[in-house]
Amino acid sequence: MLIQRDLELIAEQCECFGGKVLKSTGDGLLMSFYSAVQAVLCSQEVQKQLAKLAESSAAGESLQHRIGVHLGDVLFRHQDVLGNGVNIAARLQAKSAPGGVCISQTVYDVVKARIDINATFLGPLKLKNIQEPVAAFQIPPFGQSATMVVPQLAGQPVGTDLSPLAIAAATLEQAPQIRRIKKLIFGTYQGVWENDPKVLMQFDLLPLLKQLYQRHRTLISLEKALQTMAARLNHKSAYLAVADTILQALEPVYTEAEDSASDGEVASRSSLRDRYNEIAETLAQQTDRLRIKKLLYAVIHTAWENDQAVLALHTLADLVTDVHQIAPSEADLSYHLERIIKRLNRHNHYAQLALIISEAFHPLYGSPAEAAPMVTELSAEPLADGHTMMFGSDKPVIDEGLTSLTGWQSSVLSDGQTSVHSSQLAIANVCPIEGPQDAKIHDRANLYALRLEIMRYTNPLRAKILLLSTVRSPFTATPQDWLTLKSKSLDDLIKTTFQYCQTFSDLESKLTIMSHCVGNVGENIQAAGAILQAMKPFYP
Amino acid sequence: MTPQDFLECYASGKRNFKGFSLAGIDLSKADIIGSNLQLANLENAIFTLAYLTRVNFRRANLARAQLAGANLNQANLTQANLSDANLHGASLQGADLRSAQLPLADLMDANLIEADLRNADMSGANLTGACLRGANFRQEDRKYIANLRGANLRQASSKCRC
Repeated sequence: MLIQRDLELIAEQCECFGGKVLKSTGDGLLMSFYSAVQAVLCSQEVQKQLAKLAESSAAGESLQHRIGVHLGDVLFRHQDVLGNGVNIAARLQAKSAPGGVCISQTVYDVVKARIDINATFLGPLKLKNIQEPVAAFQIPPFGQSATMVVPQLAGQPVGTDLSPLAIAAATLEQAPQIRRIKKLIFGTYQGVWENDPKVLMQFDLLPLLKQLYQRHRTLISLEKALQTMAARLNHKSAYLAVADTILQALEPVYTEAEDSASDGEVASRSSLRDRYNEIAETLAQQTDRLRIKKLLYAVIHTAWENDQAVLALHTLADLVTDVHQIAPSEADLSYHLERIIKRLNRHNHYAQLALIISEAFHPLYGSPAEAAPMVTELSAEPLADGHTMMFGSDKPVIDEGLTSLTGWQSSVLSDGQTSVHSSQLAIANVCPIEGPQDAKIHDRANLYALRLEIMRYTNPLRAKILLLSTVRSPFTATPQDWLTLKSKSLDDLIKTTFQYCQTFSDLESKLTIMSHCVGNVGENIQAAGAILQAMKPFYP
Repeated sequence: MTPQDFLECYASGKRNFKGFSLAGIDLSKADIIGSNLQLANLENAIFTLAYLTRVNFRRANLARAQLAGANLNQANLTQANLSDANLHGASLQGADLRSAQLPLADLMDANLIEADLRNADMSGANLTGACLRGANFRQEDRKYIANLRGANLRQASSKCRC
C-alpha cells in the first residue's frame, strides 16, 4: 500500500534524525525530537525523499504529504501524548502546502541561525481550537521557491507590470537560489552584506533591481559590481554562479534600453547639480556642520573619519552628490544613516543630525521623475520596526572613544552564514573621539546592582536555570544539570549571556523562547521579565 | 506522613504542624506558605523550589535539607538547624535567621537581602554570589557575632550591617 510505504520511509528518516515516532494517526505520524533543528532537517529530508520517490514512480503511484513542526511541552499519559504543543503541530500540518513543511515562529526563531531555510512568512494563523493566533512559516516543497507556493504574499501582483525589469524580477523570483540572489543584489546595491531574512524581506526584488539598473547603465558595469561583491564572500564560487544567473536575467533589459536612451537625462543632471549645491548650503548653515560632514562621509566610505584634514578635502556639495548616488531613494538614505548611527556611541546626538540631513535631502526625493529620470515608480520601502534589528549581530561599541578597527560586521562566520571578509567593505567600528560618551549604558564590569535587581524581583535559582538553559541547553533537572548549575554563579551566567546575546532584542527572543522550553512556564515568564528589565540598561 | 497526606491537610486549611516528624519528606515545588513547622524534624527533607514564605521553622531540624530555589522570604528560621543544608539560589529576603545553625550550608547565589543573621553560625558556609545588602550581622554582645569563619564570600555582596 502506498501510504504504508510512505509512513515507513518517514519513520525511518525520523530515526535517522534521532526522533521518536509517538503514534500513528492512520494516515499520519506524530513524532518528537530532542532538537528543533533536527526536527526541521528531518522534515525537509522526508519531503525531499518523497519527492524523489514520486519522480521515479508512475503517475498515480505516489502521495503528497504535509508536515507541521512546533516546539512546545507535551504530556505522556497511558501510551498517549497530549498537550497544546501536539495540537498546534497537528493544526500547522493542515496549513502546510502539500509536499511542504509548515513551521511555527517559535521553531523558526530557534533554527534560523543554524539552518539555511528558504521559508515564507505566513503571518499569524488562526488555528482551530487554539486560542492565540500562531505565527508560522512555510517551507516550500522540494525544488520550489517560496514565492511559488504563496503567490499572494509576493510584493508585486502578477501581470500588472510587464516592463523588461519586471520580467527579469519574476524570472529571478522563480529561481531556486532566490535567497542568495536577493542577498547578492542587496549587497551589491547597498554595499553592505545583510544576512537577516527579516531585513531582506522588507525590500522587494523589483525596486532593488530598478535601482541597481539605474546605477549600472551597462551590463559590463553591473557584471563587474556583482563579481567584485561575490569575490569578497566566503561562499565565493556559489555567489559567482548566482551573479551569472542575475546577469542572464537582466540581459534583455540592457539590450532593450540601448535603443531608447534619451538626451533628456543630461539636462536633468545639470539641474541636479544646482540642487546639490542648495542642500550643501542648507547643511553648511548648521552649527554642527562638521559632524554632518562626518556622518555623510561615513555613509559614503563606510568608515568613520575624525581627521579634519581628510574631511577638508571633501566639500559638502561633493559629499551630498556622492550620498545621493548611494541613496537614490529616501528609504535608502534612512537605511544608511541608521546603519551608521547605530554604531556610534553618541547615538542620540547623531540621530538628531540624521534628521537634519534627511530633511535637507527631502526635496531631492520629492519629485522622483526629476531626480532619477529612468525610474518611473520610485519605491518607498516601508521602514518598519524590523529595521532597528538590522545589525542584530553586531557587538556594541563601548570603547573609551578611540576609533577601533575591528569588523564592521562581526556576524558569526560559522553555520553556513555568508559574511563579508574583505577589509574594504567591512571596516571600522564607528566611534568618534568626542568627549566622554553619553554614559547611559551601564558598566558590565560591575554586575552587583544587576544581580541585586534580579534577586529582588525573581527567584535566584529560577533565574539561573533560565540563563543556563539559554546559553547552554534546556535544563532537565538531571544530577549532571544540577552540578553544572552549581559550578556557575549567577554572575558567571550573566556574563556569558551578555556574550551570547549581542543585542537586547536577541536576549528578549531567546529568553522568551526558553521560558516555554523548561518546566513551569508561568514562573519562567515572570523570571524572564525580571531578567530582561534588569539587563536592559546594560545594552546600548 | 506522606507528602500527599501533608498537602491534603494543608489544602483543608490546617497550618499547625508543630513538632511533626517529617524527615526526608519530598515537598519540592509545593506551596505551604504560612505553615507552622516549629520544632519539626525535617532532616533531609526536600523543598526544592517550594513556596515557604512566612513559614515558621523556629528550632526545626533542617539538617541536610534540600532548599535550593526555595522561597523563604520572611520565614522564621531562628535557632533552626540548617547545617549542611542546600540553599543554592534560595530567596531568604527579610528572613529571620538569628542564632540559626548554618555550618557548611550552601548559600550560593542566595538572596539574603535584609535578612537577620545576628548570632548565626555560618562557619564553612558557601556564600559565593550571595546578596547580603542590608543583612544584619551585628550583635550588641560582641561574643555572639555571626560566625563567618571559613565561609566562602567570593562575589558575595557587602553593604550589610556587620
